Amino acid sequence: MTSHRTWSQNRDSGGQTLWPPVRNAEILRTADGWFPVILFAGLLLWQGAEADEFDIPLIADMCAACHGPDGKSPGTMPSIALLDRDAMRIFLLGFRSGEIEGTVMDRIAKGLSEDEIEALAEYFGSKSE
Amino acid sequence: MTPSRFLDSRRDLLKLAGAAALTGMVPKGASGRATGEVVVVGGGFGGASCARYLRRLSPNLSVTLVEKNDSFATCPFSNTVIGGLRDLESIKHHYDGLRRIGVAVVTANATAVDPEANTIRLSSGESITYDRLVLSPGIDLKWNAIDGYNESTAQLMPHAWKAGSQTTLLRSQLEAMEDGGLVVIAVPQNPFRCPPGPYERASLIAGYLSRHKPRSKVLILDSKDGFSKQGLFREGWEQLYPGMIEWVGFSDGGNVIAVSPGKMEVHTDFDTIRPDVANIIPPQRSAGLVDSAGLAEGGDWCRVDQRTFASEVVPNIHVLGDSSVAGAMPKSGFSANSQAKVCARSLVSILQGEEPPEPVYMNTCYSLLSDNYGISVAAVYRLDEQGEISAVPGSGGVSPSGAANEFREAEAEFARGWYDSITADMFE
Repeated sequence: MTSHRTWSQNRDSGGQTLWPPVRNAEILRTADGWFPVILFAGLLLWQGAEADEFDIPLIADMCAACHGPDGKSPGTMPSIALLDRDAMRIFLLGFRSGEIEGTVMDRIAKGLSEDEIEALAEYFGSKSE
Repeated sequence: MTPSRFLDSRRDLLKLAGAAALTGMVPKGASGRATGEVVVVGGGFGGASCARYLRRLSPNLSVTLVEKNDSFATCPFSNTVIGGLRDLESIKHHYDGLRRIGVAVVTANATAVDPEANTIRLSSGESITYDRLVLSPGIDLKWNAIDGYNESTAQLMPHAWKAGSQTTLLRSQLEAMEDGGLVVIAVPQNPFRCPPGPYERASLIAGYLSRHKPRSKVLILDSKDGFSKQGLFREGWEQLYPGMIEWVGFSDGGNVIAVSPGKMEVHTDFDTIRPDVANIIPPQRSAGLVDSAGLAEGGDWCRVDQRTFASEVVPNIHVLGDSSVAGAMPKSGFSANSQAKVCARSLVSILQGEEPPEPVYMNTCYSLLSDNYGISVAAVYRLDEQGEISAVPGSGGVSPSGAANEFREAEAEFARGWYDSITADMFE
């Protein structure tokens, strides 16, 4: 959480990365009545532009092989079902950049794009609420 | 953020999501409109996962799973049974969870496919009609590819490459062996089921021997000149079982061409070896069921569309798991589970008259060298420009060499966690 510069420098060109998460929360606080509208617009974008490029529920289902059905682990693997959107984003982007050390997830996250990670964080985050 | 504000917003989002659903803006393959009869053959990593995900994606779909056994013993973790760390019961799984979510589970042997009539014949004499057929029947062992090695001599020299009675047979032979004995493991050429499996097996057998019969030895006779996670296995063997495991590659005479089970002899290109326990893993091919529909085209494996797993020969039959050719993916349980999810989503899309989604596939193969020493190889795959399944450049790879013991311990712990998760993902 200390090197915001590295994070923002790492983001894909054109991809919109909300970082650090505390700023994201501020946006949620201040947007107030506009928030549902923004979300609705986001939902439209997600359905329209990105659904053709990748299928987030399919990628999320891939996670189940290690993290359990719907991200609920029955054993020693970390459950990802309860992670909120920000935590999910921090972990996946951290594994992807190498800033967070993993055993396997650093190797997996490098196979996902930042846009996919954003969408995955949204997907799991919306289910954890 | 204040929780209440956020929760309010979430409720708004849910309302909007509901509105979106009414206007048809739902993720692909998830609207549940797909109907029809899908029959899945094979209740292992590919078939059980596919049946389960088909029902999850589309509750209106009729899904029948045909499996010859009433339970499934997993090949993953069967090496822990051979090494005496677990018993066979702990790696057996039942189909009650699939029945609970509405999969019709038929316990019968599927004997033939009729691709003209769209039916599958069962050993009971019954036939089942399908709109779409998914075959995940696993492998057949190629009897007599190694001279003298067949179904009956496998009772003397077990393959233990299908989990069950063969697993416990190899275990009991190891238990009966005297200290100072020689265990031979014969490994076939690629491609075969579970590329790191023979070397995990050598490790866990060495673990058992080092605890109970420390003067014994494990000799791996390999038909290849290299193997999966080779550097990591060698590093671990050096540390855990120094001098106990010897590996002989193809060029050094490791290729087993014949066995004489009556005399307990194993013949390589250059030599005859007399082990006390012989574990012969023969060459493999897709299960013979696929031949009734010509899906292997006279060869060993089935070519399939890499996005939908539809056979290149008969388009309404999908083949996944070990029987299929799936680009760069290894023949592993994880691969089959991953392919099953892609296949299920594609199938639902096709039945709804939609384009199948852009696929992403994953695989992680954990290997245990001991109860607290694990290593792994992982990859994320996508379709490349030629439409082949290829590893995403820069992703995946093997565990680091020279890692601290804590890292190996963590991977052993995660190997067990993976097993609990993926079997829940298949059966619960």
